[in-house]
Amino acid sequence: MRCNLAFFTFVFALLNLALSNTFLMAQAESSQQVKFFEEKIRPLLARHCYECHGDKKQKSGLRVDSIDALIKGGDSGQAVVPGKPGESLLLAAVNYDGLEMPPKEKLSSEEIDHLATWIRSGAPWPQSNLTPAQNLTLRFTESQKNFWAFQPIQIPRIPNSNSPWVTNAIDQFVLQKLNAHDLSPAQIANPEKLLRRLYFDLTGLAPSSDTVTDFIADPSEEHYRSIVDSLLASPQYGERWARFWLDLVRYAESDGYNSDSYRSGAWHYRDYVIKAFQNDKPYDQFIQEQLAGDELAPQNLEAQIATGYLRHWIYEYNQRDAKSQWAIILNDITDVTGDTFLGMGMSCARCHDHKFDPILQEDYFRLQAFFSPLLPINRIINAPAEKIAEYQQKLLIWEEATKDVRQQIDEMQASQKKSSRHAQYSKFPLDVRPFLFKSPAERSPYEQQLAYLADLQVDAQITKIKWEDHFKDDKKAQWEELTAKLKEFDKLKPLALEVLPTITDVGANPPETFIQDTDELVQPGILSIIDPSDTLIQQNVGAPTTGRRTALAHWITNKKNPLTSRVMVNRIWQHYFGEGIVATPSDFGILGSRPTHPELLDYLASELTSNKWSIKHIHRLILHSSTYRQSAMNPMGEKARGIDFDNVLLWRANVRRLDAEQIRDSLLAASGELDRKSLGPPVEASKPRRSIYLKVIRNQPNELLMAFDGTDNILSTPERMTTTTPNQALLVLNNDWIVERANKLAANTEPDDASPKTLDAAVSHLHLHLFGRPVQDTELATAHKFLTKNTSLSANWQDYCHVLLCSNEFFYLD
Amino acid sequence: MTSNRFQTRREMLSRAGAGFGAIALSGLLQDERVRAGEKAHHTPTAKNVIFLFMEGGPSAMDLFDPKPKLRELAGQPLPDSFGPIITPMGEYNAPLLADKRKWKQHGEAGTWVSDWLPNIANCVDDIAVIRSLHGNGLNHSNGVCQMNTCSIRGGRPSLGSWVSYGLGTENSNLPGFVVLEDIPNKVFNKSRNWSAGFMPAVYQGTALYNSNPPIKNLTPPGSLSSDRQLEKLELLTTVNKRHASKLSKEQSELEARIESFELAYRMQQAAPDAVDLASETEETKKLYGMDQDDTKDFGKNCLLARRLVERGVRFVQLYHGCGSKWDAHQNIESNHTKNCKASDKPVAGLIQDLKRRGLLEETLVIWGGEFGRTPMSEKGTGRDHNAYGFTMFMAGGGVKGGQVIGTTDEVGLHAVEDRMHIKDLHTTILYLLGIDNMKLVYHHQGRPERPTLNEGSPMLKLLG
Repeated sequence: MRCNLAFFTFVFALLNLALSNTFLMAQAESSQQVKFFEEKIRPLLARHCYECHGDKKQKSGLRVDSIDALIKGGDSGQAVVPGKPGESLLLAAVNYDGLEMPPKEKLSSEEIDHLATWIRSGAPWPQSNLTPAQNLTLRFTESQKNFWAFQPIQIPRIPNSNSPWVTNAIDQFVLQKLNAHDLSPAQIANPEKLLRRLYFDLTGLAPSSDTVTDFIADPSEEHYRSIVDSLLASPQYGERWARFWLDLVRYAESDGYNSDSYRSGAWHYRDYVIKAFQNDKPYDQFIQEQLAGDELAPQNLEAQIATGYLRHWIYEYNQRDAKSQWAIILNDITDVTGDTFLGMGMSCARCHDHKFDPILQEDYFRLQAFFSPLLPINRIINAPAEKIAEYQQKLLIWEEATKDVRQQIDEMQASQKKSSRHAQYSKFPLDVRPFLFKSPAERSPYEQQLAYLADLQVDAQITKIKWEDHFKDDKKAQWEELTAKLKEFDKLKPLALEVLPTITDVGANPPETFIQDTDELVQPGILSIIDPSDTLIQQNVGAPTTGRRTALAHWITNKKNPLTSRVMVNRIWQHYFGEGIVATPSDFGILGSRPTHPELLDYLASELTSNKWSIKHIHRLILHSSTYRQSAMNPMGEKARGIDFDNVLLWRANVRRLDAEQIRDSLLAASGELDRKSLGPPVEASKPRRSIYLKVIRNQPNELLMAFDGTDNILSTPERMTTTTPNQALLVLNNDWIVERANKLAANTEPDDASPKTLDAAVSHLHLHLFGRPVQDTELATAHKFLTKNTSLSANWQDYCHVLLCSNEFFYLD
Repeated sequence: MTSNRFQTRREMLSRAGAGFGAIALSGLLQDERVRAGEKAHHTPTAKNVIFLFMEGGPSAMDLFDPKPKLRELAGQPLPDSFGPIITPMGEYNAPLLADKRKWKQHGEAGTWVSDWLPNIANCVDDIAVIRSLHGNGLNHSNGVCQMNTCSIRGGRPSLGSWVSYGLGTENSNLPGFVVLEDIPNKVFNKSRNWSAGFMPAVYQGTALYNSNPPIKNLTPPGSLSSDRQLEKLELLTTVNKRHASKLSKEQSELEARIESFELAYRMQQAAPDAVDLASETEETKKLYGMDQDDTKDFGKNCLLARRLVERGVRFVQLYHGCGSKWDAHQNIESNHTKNCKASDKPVAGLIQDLKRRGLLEETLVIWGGEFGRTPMSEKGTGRDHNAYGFTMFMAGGGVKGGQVIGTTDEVGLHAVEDRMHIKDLHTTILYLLGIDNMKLVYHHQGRPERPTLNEGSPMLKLLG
């Protein structure tokens, strides 16, 4: 403030002296002038004007990023007349006098005053010493720079309540907030409810009746913790938690769009994720492998499979506009990467600087530049080295034996293949066609990428040629003879090894990355608000790739990155409590929610990074806490609802509906049919495997899963919705598949006779089996009445089982 | 404390609440719309929409947009002056193909319609023909996706979902957005076309079948007597109420779910009634062409559309030619002869029937495909896809009939005057329903999402 006053005094002094503009302009700017300009004027122009009147765009012919350009003006005339605010169109425009700039919202009167003062003082424009990177940061406001999500993670002081309710640090943070609002937490839930919650949260399945009985008998801390440990070690834990990751990366096994072809081998990525959770792969390594496994660990099979992350985009082979399609693919990867790892919705910034978040349009394409060199590649890698060697050796023998035949076949096909390729290439748009006819070596990296897309289409056409119809007469006879001959060697041919969708770069030399619809080049870089300089890329000599993705992976997994660990611990928290500490798990931006417990968030984030990025460590912290173990009922509920209706402060457990996969899996478990086999190729929905193993064909979503808010696997899904619709009610009541499960359950549990004792036993067993708790007397009475109606016991029992499967208690956790 | 778990009260009602009907009936919607800024800037002129989707892409220059110049230039390549375009099949130098139609001006307004659509021609004084549509979809998947969602890429909510989100339904016992395919499960992109995308499932389209049961899972499998079903529902209510007695204060979804079973039960009565044509007269059925083999299937769907709209269903989408049957890459003569024959009478019957019942005033009827076809030939006798300029028409819902809006160039390749992008089309449809496309907002992953991707202007000329 003092500086400003000093500057005003200075300006007035100048005016009093009535010095001419020319004189002012000719002088080296004083340090106050520089300061005023750099603090008030340059950032103001950068923030409000550069986007349309800068180096990228010059709307109405105007640029405002140099004094020369301002004096030259645009279509409407001279924008700044130094010394004469009244004659400067810039000032008229910001005053909404005639022109109205900026169009969206008028500048504050303070900002307008600054501009007037600056013009009046002769519009000094000090030569900038700023680097281009520093220039980018001018476009951020102070409040953007101070926004919580970009601040370093602070290891917070843990409150030290000595309340007996507290089990660990999490509880300290939660209790402190509750107490500050004059609230108390709920007591620990009763053993059967806690156990059911724990099982569904960690494994997606209900506990067995025996486990329930055991835990009710011994609900001790030791017993609880040993169950936590055994569940975290179970295969079902990976099958449950992989689901959330697959939602985020829009995992599917088909192309999407109309042809929606099956993606053979894509499922290895799903298994990779399941195993990563099961084995507690450090989260930093998990990220690195997905983004750059091919560069970081080229010999490691898992790391190659992990790069399947970069292959989940939807795609249509039947698309001639290769340029647009490639742009859409790169945009998709950029969006999902921003959402998933950084919790930053980047996509607004694709077309313009983000209107709210400090994400520049440059930032979108700086992030995209890490991916610009991508080239999809399908590799035979899913086999031990010796197996591959054996395969190759056998193949060699076959190739040797069939050399002549194959050569003759090739010769017969050559001209038709060539003309077919030529004809197909000629159908591509004019801006793609020319380089399709170049030899691969002549193509630029970008042209190679487009040719890759084009060739997928062309090759598909060539494989469709029916050679037996193509050849006539003598040629046909010759063709049949040759193919028959080749067939004789089939017994020598080794069985093909599986090919997996992975990724590489188009070469060591990257294609250029431009800001959309401009010719402005950008280099790889991270969010400017965090670091505006170009990212240093270290390329290994002789490497087939650019090293860009490795650089990105290293930045994302740097412990100092304020976003990565916060975003991940928040996601874990979200799945236990129904809502994250930040309620918008993939949007830590300004339109997103603020953390309800910022210190707790930072505590968990720092626990993650300081414990070798162990996800299971975070699970244990949460599961051991009293906060997690609370009952859904709090005796002071009436009051608490008045203060915090949505339970943001966590004064009780949330009552949560099971998600789509939990529902399907539970129905199969209830009917005793669930096949717990782990991993492997996807199966049809009719198979009683866990839902995570069902084939994911984008255009044929599973009816049951979609009815209960499953994902479409086209966009990244950070959070499942819970909708309640009559269609769901119709489905659970009438759907063939569900009724079959109910009938199976009935057949497995049907009482032998209708005597009260037998019925009691059957009904109580059913309650333990489905709801994980003992039956109550009122329930027995209701059951008796229903089961002893006129219809046969079998029919009644079927109906009874079906009703319990439809019930809220079966669908909800509390 | 407040949380932003629900962005609007309406969303809360629909996520937690009991599905389609309750929202509109609750009376809360009106307040909500005012609050969300969705209150009409103008009085809505349409209450319901029937979107007749001719899948595969009907040819404008053979139906509504006569091109004498095309006959003149037939057999020659497209003159360079028309500018380069991308055609998916890539026959760039194929000769121009003249139409073989007989053209006549119809109605008081003298609207041109070819002899392929004699019945629709009789309705032109209720119809505004728009000859200047354009979009970005080169192939069917992109085109059908854009015509439904404004984007060529999947994942966004369809127009019907946005309308349901914005306006709810008027009938609590039927879904607000219903889709009828003439050949089930064949449409390009399948059910993704009526998906709610990133919005709650309650806004997605419900497929209605021209068979029994008309809605999936509407009736119990096998022969469960209605008594037995009622007893089950009673037991379910007892069990659920016992469970909810304490917990419902902490989770409103539990009550909502109890109610959803009651709604489902009412739907079981309402849906069969909606599709039961027994009460329709022979004369009406004939009007829709249900007495003839060629037209009976689509005629039935058109009649169902009227019955749904009568019952307050907000948005009905009818696909004709599912699986790209209008896609005349070769032999357009036989292709369009067949498709026009099958759809002309039913569509005209629908417009006439709506009109005589006074429903046309508030029902917006839209006709068109995902794109049109090129003036250049393909394989000698067909036409390729053309998203650069094509025709659709609208009737009712406040649209002034008897007019022709927009033009294409001399051969019908590019839209020229009054160009109307698919985003403008959606904006216009929303406008007629009283919704401002920029004010209908759904927050998703930190982005304020709008139905027309933040673009589009209404074509006000349609209002006359």
